[in-house]
Amino acid sequence: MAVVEHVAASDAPPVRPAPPGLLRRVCRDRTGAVALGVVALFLLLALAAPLIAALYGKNPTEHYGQNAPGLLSDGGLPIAPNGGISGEFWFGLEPGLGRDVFTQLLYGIRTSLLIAFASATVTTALGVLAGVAVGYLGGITDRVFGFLSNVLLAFPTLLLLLALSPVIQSRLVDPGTAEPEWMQFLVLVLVFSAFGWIPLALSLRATVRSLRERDFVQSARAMGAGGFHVVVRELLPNVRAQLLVHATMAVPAFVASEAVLSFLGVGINEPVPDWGRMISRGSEVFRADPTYMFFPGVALLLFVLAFNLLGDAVRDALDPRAAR
Amino acid sequence: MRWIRPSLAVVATALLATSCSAGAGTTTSAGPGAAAKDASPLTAALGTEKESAGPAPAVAGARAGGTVNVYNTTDFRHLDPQKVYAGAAYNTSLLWGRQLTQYQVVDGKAKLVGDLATDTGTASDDGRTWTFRLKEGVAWEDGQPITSQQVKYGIERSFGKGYEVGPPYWPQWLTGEASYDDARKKYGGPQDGDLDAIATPDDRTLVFHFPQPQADVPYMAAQSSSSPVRKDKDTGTDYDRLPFATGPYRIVEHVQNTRLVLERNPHWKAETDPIRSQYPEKFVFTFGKEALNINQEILSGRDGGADATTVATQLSPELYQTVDTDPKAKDLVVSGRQGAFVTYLMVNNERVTDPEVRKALNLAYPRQQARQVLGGSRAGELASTLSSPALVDWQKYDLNPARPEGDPDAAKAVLAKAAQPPASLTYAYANTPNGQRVAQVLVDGFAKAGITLVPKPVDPKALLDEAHRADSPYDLWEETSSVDWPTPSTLIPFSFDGRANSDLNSARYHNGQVDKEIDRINQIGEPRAKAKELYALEQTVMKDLPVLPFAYPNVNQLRGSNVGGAFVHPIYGSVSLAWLYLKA
Amino acid sequence: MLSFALRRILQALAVLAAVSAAAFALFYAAPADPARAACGPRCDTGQVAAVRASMGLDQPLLTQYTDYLTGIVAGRDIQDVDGSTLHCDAPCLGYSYRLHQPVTEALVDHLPVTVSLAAGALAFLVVFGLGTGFVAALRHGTRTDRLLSGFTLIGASVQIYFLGYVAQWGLVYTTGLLPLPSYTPPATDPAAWAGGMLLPWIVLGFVNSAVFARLSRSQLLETMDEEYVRTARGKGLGRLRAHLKYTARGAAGPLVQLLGLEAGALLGGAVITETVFGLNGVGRFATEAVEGQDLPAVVGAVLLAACFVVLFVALADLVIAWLDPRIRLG
Repeated sequence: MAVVEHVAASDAPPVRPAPPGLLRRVCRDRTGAVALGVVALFLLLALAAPLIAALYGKNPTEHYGQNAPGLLSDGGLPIAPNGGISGEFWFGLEPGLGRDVFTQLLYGIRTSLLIAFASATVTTALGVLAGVAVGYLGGITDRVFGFLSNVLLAFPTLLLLLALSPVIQSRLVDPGTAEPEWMQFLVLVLVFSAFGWIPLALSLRATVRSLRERDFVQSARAMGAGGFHVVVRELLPNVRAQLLVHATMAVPAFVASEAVLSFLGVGINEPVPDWGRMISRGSEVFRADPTYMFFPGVALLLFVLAFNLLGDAVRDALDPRAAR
Repeated sequence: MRWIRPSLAVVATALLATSCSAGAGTTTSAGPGAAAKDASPLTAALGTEKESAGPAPAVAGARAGGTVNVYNTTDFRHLDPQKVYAGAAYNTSLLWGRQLTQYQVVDGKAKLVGDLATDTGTASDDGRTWTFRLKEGVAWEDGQPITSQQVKYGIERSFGKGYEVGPPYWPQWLTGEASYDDARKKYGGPQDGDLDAIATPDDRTLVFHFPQPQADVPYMAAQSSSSPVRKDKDTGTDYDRLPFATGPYRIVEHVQNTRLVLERNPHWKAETDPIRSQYPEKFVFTFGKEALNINQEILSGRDGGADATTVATQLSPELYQTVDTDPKAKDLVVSGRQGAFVTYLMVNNERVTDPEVRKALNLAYPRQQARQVLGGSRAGELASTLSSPALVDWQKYDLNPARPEGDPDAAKAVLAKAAQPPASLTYAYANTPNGQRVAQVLVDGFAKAGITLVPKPVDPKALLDEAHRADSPYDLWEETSSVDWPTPSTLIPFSFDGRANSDLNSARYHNGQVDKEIDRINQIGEPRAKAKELYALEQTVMKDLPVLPFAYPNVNQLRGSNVGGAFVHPIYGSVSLAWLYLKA
Repeated sequence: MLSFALRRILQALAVLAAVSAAAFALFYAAPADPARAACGPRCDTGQVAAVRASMGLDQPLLTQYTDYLTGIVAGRDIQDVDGSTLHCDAPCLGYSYRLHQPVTEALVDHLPVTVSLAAGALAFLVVFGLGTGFVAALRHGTRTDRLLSGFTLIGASVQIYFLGYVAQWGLVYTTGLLPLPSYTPPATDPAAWAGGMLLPWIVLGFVNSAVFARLSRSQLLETMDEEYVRTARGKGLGRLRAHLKYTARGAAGPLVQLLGLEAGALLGGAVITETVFGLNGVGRFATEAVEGQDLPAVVGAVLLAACFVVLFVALADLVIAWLDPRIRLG
């Protein structure tokens, strides 16, 4: 489902600066520590993917099953039980092309994370810019923004992503030339960014609106501070915590959204390894070869779950009141 | 004038979308019903007047009564007989529509016989004049007799605006214009008055006058375009939803994209019809179900699934394993060749001009691996010819033998002889999951022979437009296409005529010798003599290897356990409903 | 109350107008040529131009848009590709050249599936979400609380297409515990309808219940702390009754709001759920329209979805205002 909604629903903002020792406080919570560990493990796996693949001796693009006889049947399914799991291929073989599942998963983390981090960065930046500006300016800007966000939120997100990705792609890529891989990433980041910033902007607007009337802002203004100074020195530090929570929650949301688009066939193309596309392929053969769907499905679940738990822990650490 | 393009686009994606992977441990023999014979399934001789008389040969064990459910993912694009131009729709419209001629299928062999007409037509004047006589007792669903004027009116409609979606042959042949648009400038449909080229001396006689000899009139007379239409029942656009019936069933309800209900037509007489039968009471079509659900329901036999079949939905790949291991499920699979379709790796000969390069491509082509990602031998048989085994008098040949898994070393050796080996070749493919996977296979396979392939994903619906455009930037692409009827007449003369535009001659093959031969052969009015010459010409073309044949695709469909008489129509390439029955 | 309702309705209409304009601009500015798609691959340039004219695509965008709006309000006549004219009744959302059918008609055909799916999933969501939230709040801080929170978080993290296939595999294909997911009109056979929709309801409801469960837990906790609830408890009313009587009403506001959002979103078509379970609802219709470059159908589906979102958010606002008089005054 439209994952942006999860972000929208991540609750009211704690109005408080990010306290020092955040990491320590997150780790004090056992769930938080485990979540952080899992996230760190995924990050590590993504960074070290080429190294691990080299040690393991396989790569994610070679068609092992097609090149060596005896691995795949005439129809392309792994001959060995459990999706072709063996000492040679730890997580089995991809039906059809016969690629190695383990390295595909490994490199798939990179795809997911790259898009998610880039989108989270862009949306956070946009959201801060819009939210703080609108909240601070108030008045007509505020009303216009309120209306605009109502309109944007009324759009069916997934449908829009589905319809727009090919359009943007065809705008950016000349039909005669091969599409570079980075272009696919860019398109997805653009599409996610177009709508992803609204929830953050909305919640920041509310916070800033209430902050604006607070004593310390009022006194800074009275002392003759300019708008820029007030925003940078007084307001931004006060929404840092909110930003952090948003960013942590946004990453899994984008990972999931990217997987959804790839599942529906408008995400990242072959041969770039991608979890959503793996699940999509898995769904085609899941009665004959459930193993192929199992690995990317569970990996995605673990990954998103760990990030969500971490987001919870970060919020709890920043706002003890919410932790009850 | 051209191959079945609209259905081509549809069927090509259908093949790609559904034939994915066969179950583990399948034997290497061809799929169950895969008619892997080297002989044509078409009885070469045209049916006589005696063979054209009804009733249809009785189906052994058939029983009358009951309601057959038909589950299709999507509704038929058109039901208007002059707009229908796709195998599954031809096949299904047999239930309510009759043509001048039609294929009688016995034991998987098709024979062309007279349907509304008493025989397959009589030629005179070297094939410039064709005469058909309508049978007595053929009637509309309201009991009125079918007249020759109504058949003529139907053919006149196919000239009209909005009927571009149907086949162009009647307009071209009857006006003698090579181009469909020019033909329609001469005569633009019923609003232009009477079409002089067809005479109706009486209510039962039709005389076609063609400016040039036409050998394939009996086959064209079997196309849906050759169905009668009654002026007082012609509702224009709505006729596409609710056509008036002449066949054994009539349409009582059609909610577009949702439901189509057929009941027996009381005015259809079995003794006039050598093709169709009328066993079930009703047919109820349900549109909009997902392929997987359709197949699951039919397999499980629950909720009416036992009485169900499909005419368009392929066996979902996730069920390959099930049907391979479960004999009861295997029994429900209906397989056969997909009509006269052939899949090619197309080459733009204006861009890849050196035959040595094309020969190297042919040697390196990893056909077996490409077929493996599409479902293996269940998806089809590897091809070596331009023409399909479904054509009349077809003979297998292989002028450019290549190893099915590709032979990189041999390809390299040939490539070394090329005057100018290409730095890289652009391969355009339909951006579907299967299209992407085949692209991976080709990139990988050709790379081993030192040929760099630049894969270019294209919107599946735009692929052929992009590749056929005059200034298309693509060197290679895949195409699944079929001749319009089971003779080679619409193959070489259109698609490999150097004077035709790139929309028809999409390989951009230019050979003056071949063009001359085409002109000579086109003057032959006798169908089998013409076919023989065309097969010889096909081999001349294949010496230049303008395109690389890939496979003769198969269809694999399911039928419910209570449904009898289901097999894949050898010409139309889908399960035919016109002789189905319910066992109990 | 009346003036609040009026104001809210006007606001909703303004949003819808803007959504329609935006959708129109976005999709009709796309490079895909709907005329070519409608005409089919055998059309030459001249024919495509003729089709374009009959579809009205040669008109300026603004004219097309006003025609479109007129059609929604009053219906209009539309030319099909073959030049024949047909009337499209209000609310006319245009004509699908792919389906040869008015878009409104096609949407209405698909709506029962989506409404069935959404209604059942929402029911499951409310019962399950409220139930777990309530139990977690009552037992807050205990192992049950943590267990339930963890369970709902899994719901929030799992991909519906993964869970959907796994559930089908486990509950339908291998064990046969549940019937095959399918849609039967409830009027024809209510039992088959409920049976066929059961698994989609559970899966969609479960995946979407996580946020609801968490919110209901935190809302209950918050209100339980508030003065009046504490007073009630102090007065010796039974613990549970105190919750029911005072807490529920206070906590309802945000929950109703969330429910409104969820309902709106689900009714717009659950694209993935419908794909996974093979239900031919509005979501499938929309994705097929996208694939077929059927612009009138895409815009129609987008508008319908937006309508539901706006409608249900407005409805939720009204309910909240009715629950809490302070809001409508403010």
